Amino acid sequence: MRVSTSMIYRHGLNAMQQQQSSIAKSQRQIASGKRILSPSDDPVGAQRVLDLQRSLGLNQRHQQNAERAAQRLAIEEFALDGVVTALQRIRELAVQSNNDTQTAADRRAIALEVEEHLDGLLSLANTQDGNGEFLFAGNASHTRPFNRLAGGGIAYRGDDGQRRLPIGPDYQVTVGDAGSDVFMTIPNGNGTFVMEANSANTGEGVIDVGTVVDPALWASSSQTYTIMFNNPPDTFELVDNGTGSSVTRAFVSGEAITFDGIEVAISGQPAAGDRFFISPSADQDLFQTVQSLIDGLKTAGDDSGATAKLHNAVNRFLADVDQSMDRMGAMRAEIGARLNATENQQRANEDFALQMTEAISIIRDVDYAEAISRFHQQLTALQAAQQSFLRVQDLSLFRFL
Amino acid sequence: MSGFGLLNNGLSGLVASQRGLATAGHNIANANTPGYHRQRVELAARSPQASSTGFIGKGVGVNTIRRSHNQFLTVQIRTSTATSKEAQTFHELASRVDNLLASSDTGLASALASFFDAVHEVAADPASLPIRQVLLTEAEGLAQRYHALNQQFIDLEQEVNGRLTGLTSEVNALSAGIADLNREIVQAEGAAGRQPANDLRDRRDELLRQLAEHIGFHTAEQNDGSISVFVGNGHPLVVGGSNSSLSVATNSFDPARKEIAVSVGGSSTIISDHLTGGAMGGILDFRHRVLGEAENALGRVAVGLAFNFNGQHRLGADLDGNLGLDFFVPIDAAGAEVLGHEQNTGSSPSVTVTNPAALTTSDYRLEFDGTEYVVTRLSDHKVDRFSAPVPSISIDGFQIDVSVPPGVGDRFRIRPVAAGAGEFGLAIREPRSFAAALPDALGGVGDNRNALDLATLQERLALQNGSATLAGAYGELVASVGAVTQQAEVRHGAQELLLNQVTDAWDAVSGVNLDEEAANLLRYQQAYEASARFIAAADAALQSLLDVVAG
Repeated sequence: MRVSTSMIYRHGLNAMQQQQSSIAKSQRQIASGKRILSPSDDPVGAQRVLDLQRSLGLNQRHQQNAERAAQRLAIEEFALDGVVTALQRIRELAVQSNNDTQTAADRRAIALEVEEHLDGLLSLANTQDGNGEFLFAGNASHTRPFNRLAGGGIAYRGDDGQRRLPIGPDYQVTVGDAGSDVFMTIPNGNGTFVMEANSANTGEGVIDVGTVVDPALWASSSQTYTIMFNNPPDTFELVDNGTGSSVTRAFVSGEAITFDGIEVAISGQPAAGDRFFISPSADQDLFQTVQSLIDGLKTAGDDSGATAKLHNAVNRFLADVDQSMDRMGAMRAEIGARLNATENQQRANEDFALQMTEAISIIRDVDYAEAISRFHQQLTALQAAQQSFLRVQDLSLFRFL
Repeated sequence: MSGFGLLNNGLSGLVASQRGLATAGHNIANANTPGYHRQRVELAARSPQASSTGFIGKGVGVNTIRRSHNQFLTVQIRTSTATSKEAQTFHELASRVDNLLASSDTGLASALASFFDAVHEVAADPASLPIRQVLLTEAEGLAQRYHALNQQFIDLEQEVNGRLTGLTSEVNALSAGIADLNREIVQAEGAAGRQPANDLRDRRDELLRQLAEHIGFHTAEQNDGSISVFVGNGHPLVVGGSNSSLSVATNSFDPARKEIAVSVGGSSTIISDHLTGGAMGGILDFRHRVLGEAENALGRVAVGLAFNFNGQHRLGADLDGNLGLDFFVPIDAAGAEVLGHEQNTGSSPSVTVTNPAALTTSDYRLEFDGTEYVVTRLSDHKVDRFSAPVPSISIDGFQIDVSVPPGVGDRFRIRPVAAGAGEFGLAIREPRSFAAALPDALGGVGDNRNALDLATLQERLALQNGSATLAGAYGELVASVGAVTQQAEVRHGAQELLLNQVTDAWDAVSGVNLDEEAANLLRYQQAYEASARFIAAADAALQSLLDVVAG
């Protein structure tokens, strides 16, 4: 094929320019560490990288939330631990006060200690997290949830909300419990029914916690009764407040009184006209439970009637506080489960993050070994192109004319 | 045979050698002239004189000086140049959009991710004012990113306009030059008795090649030696010695957009849609296939985000318990671009987006002939008809309000989301106004339920009829521009290869080889010497004859 002089130059120049352009691209890849310098280098890969980066970003957000969740749940657990410890101590004091070697003065002293513990409980119920949010206020997290009322008692000013945080794809963990659930809505009595001695009782009758023997039978009954002692108080009327019917039974101290699926026992000798009420368990807040004990202890007297009153109050307290402890136990178990689940999710998130990062790197990042050896090859090729160009253009017939 | 005959023969040899030397010298001088076809002297023995002793040669004559020229290769070079330049220009512009969209500094993906992460942050701590403020700041940042991208697109549109204007002037200058050369060639060749005006033709070929870099065209060589040039769908650019000018006109719908027009007779016709090839073709292709599409796709993400986020935000309650208002400035209507044809008589209808999931990235044309509305989707030319009168037309996720009918014969270009990115903005000013809670009994300051719902918008399949998330739709835009850019790069590379091959073939025929010319110099120089010697010999012979006669 006939070759023209300008073709020789053009070929030599093209070869050098091509090598230079390849070298420039290799150099940019090596310097930036990226194989994909712009989407046109690999459009599908570029879009995939965007998708993966988004997944990775969401995953990092989930991890952060999981950290947060773990922190809050730990604080909650710690607060509830404190509550349980306090309740246990109060329970010990209650049992101690129930002992008949205690005098009224002793019992009043115990009441003071219980009051201290009640303050402690209130403070725990108003626990705040690191951001200043009240843990047990539901969603009203900037309002102090538990406050003393002027006339006595403690009111809950939070709401029933529970905050959830997403810690994994399609997985939200609950990071809070409303104070209403934790402290306010605890069933009193034995959890099914509650007994109460009439405050006007003058006798020495002490009623126990009672048990359920046939839940179905109890459930189908009217569930509200009055045990009313006759005159003389060796019999009593068992009044079904729902139907209005009443049955007379003989009274034996300590003997089980069974009716409609439940059993209660009264020890000691009630006076004529003394009443004892049985009603279904209702919600009672923990503070009220403790306060009732304090009230009972403070009004303790030394006569037998006052002693009976105290025993009734303490028995009632022991029943109520056991319900409270059960509630605390259930809450702690739930929080423990949530913490476990959070930890598991954190580990899963870590694995996921690793996979994502690797996937992104495989698509986007340059293989240094390959790139550098390619770079060297191209440098050699450029040198060869340059030197061969010099040699070729050196030859001309005109030199020899 | 007379002595003068001898001298004439010798002289013819001298002249022929001289011409040969001159031509070799001309070739050497023009070895680097772009578009120069090497010239060769065509020698032929003169017609012999008959005599009784045989035919006596009359020496050599120069028939012509011909340039080595292959018309097919010349046309091939032009075609490859036009296609290569078109691909190169398209690639250059498309890769700018490509880099813009993909960069983490200018692209949307990272700003969207930061924004939604800020929403998550509020969901984790809804009552915190500083964290809410960060959300507003991130939202502002997102709006800035949209605006910056939009501004870049506007700048590209103006650059396209500017480059088209510049190219038009250059095309006009070149076509004027070609017309001039046509005249000169016709005149010169006529005067020279149909001898080819080699260097003039070379110049004309070179102008044509330069023209191919700017615009694609067809040529037709006329019998008188002039070349006619046609662009687009056969619009004449150069005919004989006169040329028509391309001019820059405004698009009949959009005064901000420039089109290429050619004037024939007294009227000018817009021919942009028919132009291919050259830098002009590449720029027009870019504007049609990449820029408009990118503006629409970006606007759709903006409108989709504002629409869905506002909808969810209005379901919530803010820190003070008030129902949520619009978080972003509502751009259901403000994001639409409705342009009326310059000959319209009625007013333009307003357009509102009603369902972002059903939106496409296409432009639409609306025409009203008095009895029915015709809506054409320009991406696939799907046509829908609606009989008038009708208060509104709903199609592809948006609604056209025609409660006040436009003029009869009016035409409109509708881009339902093109202005979305530019109009995107934050409406809320106060951190307290962010509706993180729900307006029910559990909606205290620590309520994060609406914030969680807002955060999960990031993963909701809100666009493309439930097949793409907001960021996913943006990712598809990045991929499609990337793919188109890659195609253009590949096409450019292929055309460059082809151009190189054709140029090599052209060089083989028409290129000057200096070694060859050096050899020719030697050859003609020797022949000249030999002819000179012969003349001396013939002269000596004549002289002896004269000496004899003279005494």
